[in-house]
Amino acid sequence: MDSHAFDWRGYGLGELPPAEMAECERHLGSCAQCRTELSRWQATLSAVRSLPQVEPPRRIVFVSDPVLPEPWWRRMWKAGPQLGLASAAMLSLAIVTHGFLARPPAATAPALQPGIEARIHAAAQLEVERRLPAAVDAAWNAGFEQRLQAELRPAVAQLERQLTEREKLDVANYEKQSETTRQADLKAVRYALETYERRLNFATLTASRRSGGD
Amino acid sequence: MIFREADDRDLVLRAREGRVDAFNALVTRWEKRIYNYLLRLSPDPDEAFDLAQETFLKVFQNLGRLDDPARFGPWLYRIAHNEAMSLLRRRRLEGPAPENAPEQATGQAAVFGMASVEVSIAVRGALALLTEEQREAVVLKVCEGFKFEEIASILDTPASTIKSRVYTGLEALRGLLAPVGGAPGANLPVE
Repeated sequence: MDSHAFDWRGYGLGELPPAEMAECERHLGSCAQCRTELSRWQATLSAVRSLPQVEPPRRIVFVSDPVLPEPWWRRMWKAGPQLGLASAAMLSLAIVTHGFLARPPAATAPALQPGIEARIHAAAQLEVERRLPAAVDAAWNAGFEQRLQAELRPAVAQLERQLTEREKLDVANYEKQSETTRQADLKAVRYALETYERRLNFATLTASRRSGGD
Repeated sequence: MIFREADDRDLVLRAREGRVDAFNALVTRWEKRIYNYLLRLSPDPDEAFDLAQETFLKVFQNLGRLDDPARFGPWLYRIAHNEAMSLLRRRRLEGPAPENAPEQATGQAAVFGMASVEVSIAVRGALALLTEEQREAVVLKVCEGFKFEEIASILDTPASTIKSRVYTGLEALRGLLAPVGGAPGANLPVE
């Protein structure tokens, strides 16, 4: 095969398909002209690859640490709306879940045959007639109890008010009586003091006269 | 294959979660290659470093838009390419590009039998003589090791066009670097 039929640049760059690479290698073993051609390309490629990799003058670094840490209250303040939103979301989810779970199950009763349906109706009617009187009595009794409670409640309240007023009046009378007694006691004490003063004055005067007469 | 896809993918996912240390690990892994790639497109080291910083900043800001985290490498190069092209467009609008006279002048030596420093100088000089499209395609293919399909996604150009650019560029480089008539580097421009 003519050496020009082979893509030696592609072979040197490793871009040929595996089958074509293998064919090139087989041909190289028997063709000195192609080996020379390939060596020229490889010399060119080696020369370009030999360009030195220069170190950058400085390192490129991105800073991640915050310059000053945020105070705790600012972090809390920032987290507040997020916590509130999360709480609201959880509450909404709980309400929706509860509503969904608390729903009565959908009626999925199978269709009944006409005869069976009539018998069920009849049995239900009998059961209703049997239980109805007792239910009416219970309802009546329950109503009577409620009416009694409704009528008694104002009377009891009025009695309680009267007792309270009476109690207040008794207290007032007792206080008035106590005040009168206290005033009388004070008057008696004052009278006794005046009497003692007069006697003392009299005794003092008598003593001075006797001493003057001597 | 040069990619370490699994590792890059993990780091990208962590960086997307806000882990800046994971992003810094990505930067550390790729910054040297990106810087050198940009250095091939813009020979001014300061300019290349500024472009690298801008590239990683854009990557940081747009990491959430990366569809496939395992394809971080080509996506990173695409951003770097766009940054470099924006700079080149601005430069063209501002005025004529500065000449890389030292590179071209010293690029006249040939490859064979030369010391590694001389080889790198000669290759840089030869690369500078290629068109922008050829140079970038050759760098991405030969230096960075991308597949044609990956280069096509980086440059947003059909893979067949990329292949053509690489082959044409390599053809030109071989002519510039290989000895002609026993005289290495005879095809390189002479001062």
